[in-house]
Amino acid sequence: MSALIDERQKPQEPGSGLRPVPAVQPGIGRLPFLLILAGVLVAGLVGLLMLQTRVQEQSFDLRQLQTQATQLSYKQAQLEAEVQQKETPAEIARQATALGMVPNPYGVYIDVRTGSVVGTQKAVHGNEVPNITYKSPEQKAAEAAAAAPAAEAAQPGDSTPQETNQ
Amino acid sequence: MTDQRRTSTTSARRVPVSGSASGARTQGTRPRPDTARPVPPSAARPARRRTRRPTERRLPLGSPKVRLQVALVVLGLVATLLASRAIVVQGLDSAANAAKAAALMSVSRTIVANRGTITDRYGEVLASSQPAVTIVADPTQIATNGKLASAMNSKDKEKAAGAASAIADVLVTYLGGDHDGYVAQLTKPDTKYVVVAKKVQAYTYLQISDKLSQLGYVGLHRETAAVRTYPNGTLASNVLGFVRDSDDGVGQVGAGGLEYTYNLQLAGVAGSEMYETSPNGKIPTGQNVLVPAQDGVTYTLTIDAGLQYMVESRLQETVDQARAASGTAIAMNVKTGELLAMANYPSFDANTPGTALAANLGNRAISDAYEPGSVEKVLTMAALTDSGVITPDTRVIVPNQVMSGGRPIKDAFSHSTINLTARGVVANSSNIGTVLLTRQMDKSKLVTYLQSFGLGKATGLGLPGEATGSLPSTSLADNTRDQISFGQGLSVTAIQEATAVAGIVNGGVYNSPTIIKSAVTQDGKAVPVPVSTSKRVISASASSMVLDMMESVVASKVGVNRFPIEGYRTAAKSGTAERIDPTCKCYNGYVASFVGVAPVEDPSILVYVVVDRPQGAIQGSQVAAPAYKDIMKIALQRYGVLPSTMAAPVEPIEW
Repeated sequence: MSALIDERQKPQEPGSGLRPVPAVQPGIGRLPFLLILAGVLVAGLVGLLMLQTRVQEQSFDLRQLQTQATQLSYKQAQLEAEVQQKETPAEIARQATALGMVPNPYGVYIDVRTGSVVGTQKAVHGNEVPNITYKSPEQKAAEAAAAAPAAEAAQPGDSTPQETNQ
Repeated sequence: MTDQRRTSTTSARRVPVSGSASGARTQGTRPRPDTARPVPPSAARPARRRTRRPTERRLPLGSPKVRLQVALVVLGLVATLLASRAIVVQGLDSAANAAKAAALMSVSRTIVANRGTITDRYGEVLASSQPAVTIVADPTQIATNGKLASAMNSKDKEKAAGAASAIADVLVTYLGGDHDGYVAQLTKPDTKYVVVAKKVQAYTYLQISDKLSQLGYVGLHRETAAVRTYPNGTLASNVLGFVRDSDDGVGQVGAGGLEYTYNLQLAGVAGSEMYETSPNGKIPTGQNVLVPAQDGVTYTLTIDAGLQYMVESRLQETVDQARAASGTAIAMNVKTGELLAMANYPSFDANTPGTALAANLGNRAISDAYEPGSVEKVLTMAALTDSGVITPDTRVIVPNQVMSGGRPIKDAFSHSTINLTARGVVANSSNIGTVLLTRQMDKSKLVTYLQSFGLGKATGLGLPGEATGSLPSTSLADNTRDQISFGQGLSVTAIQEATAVAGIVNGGVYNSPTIIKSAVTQDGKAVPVPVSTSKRVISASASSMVLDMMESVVASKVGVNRFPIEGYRTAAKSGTAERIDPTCKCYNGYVASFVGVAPVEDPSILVYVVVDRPQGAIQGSQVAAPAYKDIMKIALQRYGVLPSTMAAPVEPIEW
């Protein structure tokens, strides 16, 4: 191209009265232009393809992670349910009884202001509060079978308003 | 020349003219200066003309004119067809078509809201929902292990033959149950749908499905469901209620107790997800509208699960011992009206309400109205002291009977004429003494007092099925006044009676009972819950006079051997009443009850035990008092109520 320009800028023979009209700068040639266009197109397509692939990939990852999250939430729910089960007073009573512990209704208090102990400690045997010590269903059934219904005699101090309104 | 240029387009470079070595790269076409490029007219040199390629070797292919015309017509027709179709699709029906296309692509899914949790006052879970599934099997699929019958080789056939048994093995491992039972279900002929197990924890299903895909078996599927678990089983089940499957089979609806009352809040609001799909799954860049589900409200109760457990255990023992029909027990915070325990026996397991007797599904503490018997005397005495008619030392001569409406009223213990103080009337639970004292007050005023104590109307606890009980009108007959003074001729629910007594001993300030401490939404916003309303029903001095009289029940010679709780000053009252049988409207059996508060110096906890139709011993002081004592002992210790510093004073009950 530079050769071309050089040729054009060659001074004309003097006396012809003509001088060359300066050529329009042709900028970029036709072929390169097309090639650039093609290049841009290809680059765009490849870019788009890569983007799409990436998005697809990520959406796949997302799906997988979502599935994993759901599965883990299921696991969490199951574990929470197990903990809730183990926290119940009945279960704690069962475990405590298995360890040989018995409920003690005779509390002793420490007054934190004075440091004094309020109340008297008492040894307990587990039968102080009926039926609060845990018993397995089998134990209960055995006791129910053995228990003879005891009807005690009526004592005063309690009214039986059955005399009227019948 | 033109041809050469065409081949040269493979070269992506234009080389300067000076670069003579570039010939190889441009495949021999020397890029002459700008030959093929159209040159604008203003260019200095004229463009070269292209020369038409010689055609002398062309075969005769018919008239090009006709061919052109035919082609044109055909093309024109096709173009017209396509254009008109395009106009129809894009122009005329565009909206409908777009909608149709969108509908084909978009999928909408409901997101189920988790049902709210119910916890006790310390956060211990009493009811919660877990994701669960219903496992269904496709026996047709299992029969061939998912393969086409025609495409199976002998190995496949062998595997398919053992599929049902292998799947059953896996099910037994994870769900328990009977192997042969599962096999029967999995091989059920001529069906593609068999429900194998309901309410299976979602995680358990995952494990099953993983195991099966590991082993290479197919044919089990899941349907989404939810499961409501009550980890404590029977604990407070009468308060919590239970759920049933909703009509659409997906969710659950409260069918009793709090689950019923607060069903709407507990249920939450389902969300939805709308997205566009292709055969390959969700379109990542497609439209995606997500409306998240709003999980249900979490309710925190005033109930203390630990205390509730002990109250229930003790009540069960009491009811069984007395061979009674049923029993209820209430533990209440006197100062706030909060229910710490509300027990019923017999009860039911909230996980399996279907297996329980319908009669046990309710909450007798609020639904059963009964004649309270002598516990009512506390209320009568409160009215009498507050209106200034009596003090604990008011003297009354108690004959062996008193006539009322032409019939004699007697005491439960036979006696000749005795001289009792008002305190002694309560301590001995004398009906005659109570009637004589009550007759000194305007009868309509008594009813007004009882109304102010909350009798005759629901307490507004927020539980379903609350009975109002019945209270005579203010224009009651004289003998009705006599009856209600000692707890006959009116009916109350256990919660009414307990709250009334609590109000009287709480310095005369009645707090309506509450069972819900607080409620929050998923995002932590507080939800309004029924709050306790306070009102003064009797004066503080009247309140301490009633406490004085109630303490004499425990401290006087009548009860000192039976009712005191070591270390504490307590006040109590027993009650034994004939039971109105709603079926025959007659008296049938007894209701034994016992109410007590402690400590007397500063009443904090009230325990009320009611036993319905005890066999053998029928007295409240015998049937219900031991349970009251044990429950009170545990509650005082549990709530760190310090023992009393002085012994109960022994005031005169006779004169």
